[in-house]
Amino acid sequence: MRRSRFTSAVAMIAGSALVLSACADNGDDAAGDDGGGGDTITLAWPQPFDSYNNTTAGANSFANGVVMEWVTTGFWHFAGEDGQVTPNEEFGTYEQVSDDPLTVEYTINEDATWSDGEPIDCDDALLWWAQQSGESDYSAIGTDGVEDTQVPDCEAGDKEFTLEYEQPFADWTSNGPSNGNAAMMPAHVVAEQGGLSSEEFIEAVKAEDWEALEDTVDFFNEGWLLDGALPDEELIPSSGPYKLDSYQEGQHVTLTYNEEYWGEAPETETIVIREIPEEEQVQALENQEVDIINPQPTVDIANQIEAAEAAGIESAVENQYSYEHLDFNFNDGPFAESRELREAFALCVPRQTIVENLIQPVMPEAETKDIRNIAPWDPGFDEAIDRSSEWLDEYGEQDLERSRQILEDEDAVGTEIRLETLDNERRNNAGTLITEACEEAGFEVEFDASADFFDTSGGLSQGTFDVAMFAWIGSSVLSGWNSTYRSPEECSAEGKGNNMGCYSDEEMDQMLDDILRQSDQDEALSIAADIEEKLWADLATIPLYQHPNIAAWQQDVQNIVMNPTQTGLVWNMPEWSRE
Amino acid sequence: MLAFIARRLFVSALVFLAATAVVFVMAANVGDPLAEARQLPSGQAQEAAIAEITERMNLDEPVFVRYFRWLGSALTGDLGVNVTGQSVNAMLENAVGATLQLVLAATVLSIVVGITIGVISALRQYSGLDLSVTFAAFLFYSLPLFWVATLLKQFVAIDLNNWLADPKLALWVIGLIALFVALFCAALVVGDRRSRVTTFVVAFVAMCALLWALSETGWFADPGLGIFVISLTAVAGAIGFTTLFSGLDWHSPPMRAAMAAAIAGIASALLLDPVLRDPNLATIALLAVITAGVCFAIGWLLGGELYRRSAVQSAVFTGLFTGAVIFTDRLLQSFASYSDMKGGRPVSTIGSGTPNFQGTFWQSGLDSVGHLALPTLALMLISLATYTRYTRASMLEVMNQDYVRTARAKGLPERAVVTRHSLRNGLIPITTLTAYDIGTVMGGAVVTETVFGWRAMGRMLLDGINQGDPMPIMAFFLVAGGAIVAFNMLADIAYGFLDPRIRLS
Amino acid sequence: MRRTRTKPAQAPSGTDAVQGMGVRTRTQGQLVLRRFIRHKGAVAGMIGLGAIVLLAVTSIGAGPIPGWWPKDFSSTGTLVDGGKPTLSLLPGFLGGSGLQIGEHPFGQDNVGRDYFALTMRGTQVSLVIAFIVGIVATFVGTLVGAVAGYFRGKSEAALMRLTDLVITIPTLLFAGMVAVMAGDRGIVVLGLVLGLVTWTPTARLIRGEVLSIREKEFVIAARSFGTSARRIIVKHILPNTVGIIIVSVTLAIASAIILESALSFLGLGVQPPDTSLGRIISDYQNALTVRPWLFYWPGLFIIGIVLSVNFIGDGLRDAFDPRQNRVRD
Repeated sequence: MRRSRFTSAVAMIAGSALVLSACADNGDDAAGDDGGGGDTITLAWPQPFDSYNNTTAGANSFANGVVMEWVTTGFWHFAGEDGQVTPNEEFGTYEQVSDDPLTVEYTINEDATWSDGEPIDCDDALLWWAQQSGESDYSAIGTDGVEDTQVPDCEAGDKEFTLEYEQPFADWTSNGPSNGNAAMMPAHVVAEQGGLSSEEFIEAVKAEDWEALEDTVDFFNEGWLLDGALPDEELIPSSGPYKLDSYQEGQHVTLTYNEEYWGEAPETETIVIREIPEEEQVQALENQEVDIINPQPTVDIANQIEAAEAAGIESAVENQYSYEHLDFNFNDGPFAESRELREAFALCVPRQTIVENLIQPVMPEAETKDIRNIAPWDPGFDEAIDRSSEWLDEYGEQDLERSRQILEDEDAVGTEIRLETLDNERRNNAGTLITEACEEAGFEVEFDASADFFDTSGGLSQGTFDVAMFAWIGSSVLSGWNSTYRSPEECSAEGKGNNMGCYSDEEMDQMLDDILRQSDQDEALSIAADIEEKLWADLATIPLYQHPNIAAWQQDVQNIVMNPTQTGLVWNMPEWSRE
Repeated sequence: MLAFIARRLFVSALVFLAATAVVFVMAANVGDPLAEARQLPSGQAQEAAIAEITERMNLDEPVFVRYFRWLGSALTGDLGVNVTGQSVNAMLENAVGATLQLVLAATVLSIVVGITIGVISALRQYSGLDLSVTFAAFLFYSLPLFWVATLLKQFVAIDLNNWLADPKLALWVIGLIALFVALFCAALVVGDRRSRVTTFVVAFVAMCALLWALSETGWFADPGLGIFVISLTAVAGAIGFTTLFSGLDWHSPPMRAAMAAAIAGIASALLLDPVLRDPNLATIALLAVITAGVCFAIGWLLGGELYRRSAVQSAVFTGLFTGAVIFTDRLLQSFASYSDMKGGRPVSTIGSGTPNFQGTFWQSGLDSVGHLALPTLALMLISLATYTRYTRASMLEVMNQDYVRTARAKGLPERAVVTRHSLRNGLIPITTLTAYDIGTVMGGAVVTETVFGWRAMGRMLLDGINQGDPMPIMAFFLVAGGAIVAFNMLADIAYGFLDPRIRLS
Repeated sequence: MRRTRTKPAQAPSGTDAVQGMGVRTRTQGQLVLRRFIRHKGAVAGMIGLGAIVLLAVTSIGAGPIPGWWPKDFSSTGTLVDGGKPTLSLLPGFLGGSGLQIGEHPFGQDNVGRDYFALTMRGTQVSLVIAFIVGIVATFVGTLVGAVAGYFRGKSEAALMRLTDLVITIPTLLFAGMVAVMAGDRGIVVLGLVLGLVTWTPTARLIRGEVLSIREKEFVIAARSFGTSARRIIVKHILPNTVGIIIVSVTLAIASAIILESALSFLGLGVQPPDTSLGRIISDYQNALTVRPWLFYWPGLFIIGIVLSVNFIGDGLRDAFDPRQNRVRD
C-alpha cells in the first residue's frame, strides 16, 4: 500500500490513523526572518519531523510527508482541489506501452540529478523496486501492485525503465515512484553506506542477491533517522525543488530552494516548518509567527480562526474525503449475531447531535453522513440516497423510545458493550454523546479512547471492540473501498485487511466483484447504490459525518489551496508565494 | 570557612546521589515501556519488538543493576538513550539552553524586584503602598500559572503587538499610568502630608507630560534613550548610589568618585560606538570587567584614606549602572529594526527563538527578550509574590531587633540603619528561600513551556513520564535537581558568610 | 511598628496578661480567636472559602445525597444558544438582561454538559484532594519535624537528610511520577500520594520550632522527672507548635490546589471521566477568546479558593504569632 492506497482510496488503517490522529495538514510560517521577508513562508505543524526517508513503514508520518513532498519527488502526486492523481512531468513521464501483459514505461527527465550532482537513473529505480516489491528487507509502507512486477531491466546510467505486471492492475497510474512517501531514494548514497559501488549495487539487485545488500538495508531503514540533528549533508540529497537546509530538534525544519533542481524554481525560496502544538497554532498565526496553519478543527479552534479573520487572516473549511463511522464487531460480542441489537444501537446513536455540536460549529452547512462510500459532491450520490431512503427513514434519526423497546423485546436491557476509539477531543466528545444516549436506551457502554487505537497492537486491529469509531480516507475511485466490506479469509489482525469488523455476506461479495469488473460508470454507480442499500439493510456500519478540514493563513500568502487527500495543503508548496 | 564549604559539598553530593537512586527507581516504574510491544499480536514481531526494547533498556536486569549502569555511564557524561533509541544527550543539548534561560531570568528578576518591593513595603508598613503590595502578592500567589500564562499570551503578546502598529496612548491611559506612578512616588516620600502632596502632583504632571511626548513622537515604536537621557540617568545613578552608601553630600569624595565614574561611562559610550555597533557577548563581558576595574581605581584614588570603601562602592556601582543604561539604550535603539524584521510583531507567543534568526548582537538579544518576556513574566509573578512577602516579614522582624534600636539610638542616620544593619540581616533568611524556590520555578517552567509551546526540558520530562521512559526523566532530574542542590549549597555558603555564627559552629 | 511586641506565653496553659493595655485575662485560645477575627483578610477568606465549599457541596450534592441544582455534571444535552452562559448580573436598565440565573448559568461545554455542574464537580474534586494533601503533608511533616527536632543527633541527621533528599527532587517531577503511578485509583489516592511528597516545608518549620521549645524550662523540667520522650513531644511540645501546624495546614492546602491543577493541566493528575478545575481549564484553553466563560469560570474558582485559604493562613499566622502585627489592643 504505497502511495496508491490513498488514491485508490483503499481505506488503509495506517492512513486513517494518521489522518485521524493528526488531521492537521499544512502549516505555514511566520513573518519575517530576514528583513520583512518576502522569501520565507512558515508552516506550523504539530508533530516532529524525524526522518529523511519517509518511504519506510516506520517513518510514514504526516509530518515527514509534509517536509519531504517536494524534497524527494517522483512521477506523480495528488494535485488540485479534488486531489486527483496527476503526473509530475518535471520529474519524468510514464505511459502504458502494452495491455497484456500490462507494461508501463517510465522515462526520467534527462536533466534530473540529485542535488549532489549524481544523475537520477537506473540504480535509484532498482532500489525503489527492491523496496516496493517487498522482495528485499528494505522497509516499505506497502507492496501492492509492485509485488506483481519483474525487476526492471536497466543498466547503469539508463534514464528509462519499465514495470511489467504479471496480472492486470487498475491503479497503475498511481503505482510508480511518486513525490514524498513512495519516492525513489538516492541509491548511490545507500550503496556507498553499505560498502558497495553503484555497479555492484545494480548487479546485486538484478540478481536479487539480498545477502550482498544487507548493509545497505541497515542504512536504508535506520541511517536516515534524525537523532537530534540532520544527517550529514552528503547523505540527504534532494530530487525536488526544495532541499533540507537546517533543523533544530523540537523547533523547526527549514527547506530552501535546491539550486541544482532542473525544473521550475519555486516561488518562495525558503519554507520553514515549525513544530507547534495545535492548541497554540491560532495564536501563533494571529501574532504572525507562522503564515499557515492546518490544525484539527475543534470547535474552539474553528471559532478562534473565525475571530482572527478580522485581523487579516484568511481561512478555508473544506470537506475531506475521509469520513467518520461506527463499525460493529461481527466476529465476537453482542452485535455479532443480533441484527436487532445493531438496530437498537443504530437508533440510540445521536448522529444529528454529534453533527450539530461538533461539526457544525466548524462547518455550518455540515450534515450527517448517510451514504458511506460516495462523497456528497461525487456523481452517484443522489441515486444512492434514493436507493437507501427506506432504511434512512428507519435508522436515519435517533429514536430512543424504539431503541429501548427493541432492547426490552430482546430481553437485552443492560447489555454491556465496548465502544473504542482514538483519544482526541472530537472523538472523546462524540463518544461521550453516544455513551450518554445509548445508556439512556438501556445499553451499558464502556467507552475507551486510547492513543494506540490504530496501532497494529491496538483495539481496532485486535478486535477488542464491540463498536469502533474511526474514519476511512476516501476518494472518488469506486474500487477504493472494495476490500472494506469483502468477507475476510480469517478474522485476525493480519487476515481481515480493511474489514475491521469482519462483516461477511455472500451477496455483498458478489456485488463487490461486479463493481470491479464493471467498466460503465453509470452501471457501476448503480451497483454502488445497491451496495449502500445492502450495508444499511444489514447495519454493517453506521456512517456519522464527513471530516472537515480547516486551514488559515496570512492575507499576503498566495496560492494556498486545500486538497482533500492526505497530501493536503503542501500539494502545491512550490507555488506558495507572498505578495 | 573552607572546611565548612567542603563539608557542605560532601553532604550535598551524597544527598544528590541518593536522590538520583530514588528518582531512578520511580522513573523505572512510572510506566511500562513494553506496553505497546506487549499488545502486538503474539509471534515473531512481538518477540522481536520486546527483545529490542528490553535490550536497549536492559529491562531484564533488576532495577538496581540498571541504576548502577546508568550511574556509571552518567558519570562519564553519557545519559543513555530513550525508549525509541534516541540519544538523551542530544535531546538534552537541544532542550537545556532554553529552559535554563527561562529559569534563571525568572529567578534573578523575581529576587531583585521582589526584594526591592519587599523592603520598600516593610519600610512603609501599613501605608497604602504596603497594603496594595500585600494584596497583590496574595493574588499572585493564588494564580494558577497555566491560567495566567494563557491570558498573558493572548492579551499581552497579541494585543501589545497590535498596539505597536500605532503606538499612541489614549489620554486616560496616560492619566492612569501617571496616577499609579505618582501614588508610588508619594508613598516613598518620608515627611508630612504637604511634601507627599507636592511629590504626588509633581510626579503626576511630569509623568503625564513624558508619556504624552513619548506617545506623540512615536517613541514606543522606535525607542532609544539618546546621550542626553543616558547622561542624566548616569548622574542620577551616581547621586543615588552615593546617597545609599555614604549619604548625600555634594562635596564628599564618594560623590566625586561616583560622578567621575558616571562621566567616564558617558564618555566611553560615545567613544566606543564602533565597538558597540555589533559586539558579541565576550566583548560585553570584557567591557563590564574593565568598567568595574576602572571605577575601582577611580574610587580608590578619589576616596582618600577616610572614604576609600564607600567611594569605591559608589564608583563601581555607578559605573556598572551607567554601563547597564548604555546597554539598554543600545537594545532599545535596535528595537525598530528588530520589530521590522518580525513584521512589526516583536513579542512572540511560541518557542524560545525565531527559527534561522540572523541579526546583530542587539537584534538577537531582542529576539531572546521577545520570546522570553512572557514566559518569564508568567513564571516570575508567582516567585515574586513569595520574595516580596518573605522580605517584608524578615525586614519587619529585623527592624524590631535590639541592635537596630541601638543603632537608631546612637544617632545613626536612617539610611545607615537600613542599609548597614537591617537589610544585611533581613536578607539572610532570603538566601534559604532562594534555594527552596528554585525547585518550584523548575516545576513552573514545565508548565510555562507547555503553554508557550516550547519543546524544551518540560516536554522531555512529560514524554518521559507518559512513556515510562527513565532516561529523559533522569536527564531532567540531573539538571533540575542539580540546580536545586547547587542553589541550596550556595545559600548555605552565603548564609555562612552573612551569619558568622553558622560558619563558626 | 516600633512598639513592643509580645509573644504568646510558652507554657501550655499559660495566660497572657501583658497584652498591651488589656486588663482582662484571656486564655491563649481566646486571644488567638480575637486576633483572628480582627484580621479582615482572614475573615473575608473564611467567608469566601465557606461560600465556595457550601456552593460546591450543596449544588450538585455529594455521593448519594442530591443537591439543589437540577443538572448533572456528566449528562450531555442539546446546546442552547451555542452554549452561552445564561447568568446575568447586569440589570435591564444598564443594558443587561436583568438579574437571572437561567438554564445554564455558566454555559455549556461542547457536548452540552452544564458547565456550572461541571465546575462544581471540579471544585469538589480539587477541594477534596487539597484537604487530603494538606492533612497528610502536615501529619508527616509534623512527625518528621518533631522527632528530628526533639531527638537531635543521629535521628535528626537522618531525618533532615531525608528531608533534603525530598527537597532535591522538584515537586512537580516527584508529584507527577507518583500521580501517574497511582494511576486512576481515584482522587483520594491521588491526594494521599501528593501529600507524601509535599511535607518538607512543614517538617523544616516544625523542627525549627521544636528545637527552640525543647530547650525551654518546662521541657527540661519534664525531662528531669523522667517523662518519656513520646509523652514530652505529645503533651508538651506539640501543643506549643499548634499555631505553626495550623498555619502550615492552610499553606499546604493552598499549594496543593495549585499543584493538583497544574498536574491535571499537564494530564498527569485527575483522569477522566472524573474532572477537576485544572483539567477543565486544560480542556478549554483554546476557548479563551471565543467562549471565554469556559476558560474563566474554573480559573476564578481556583483563585477564589487559593486566595481565601491564603488569607486565612495569614490571619492565623498573625493570630498565633503577633510579632509582626500592629498591636493596639
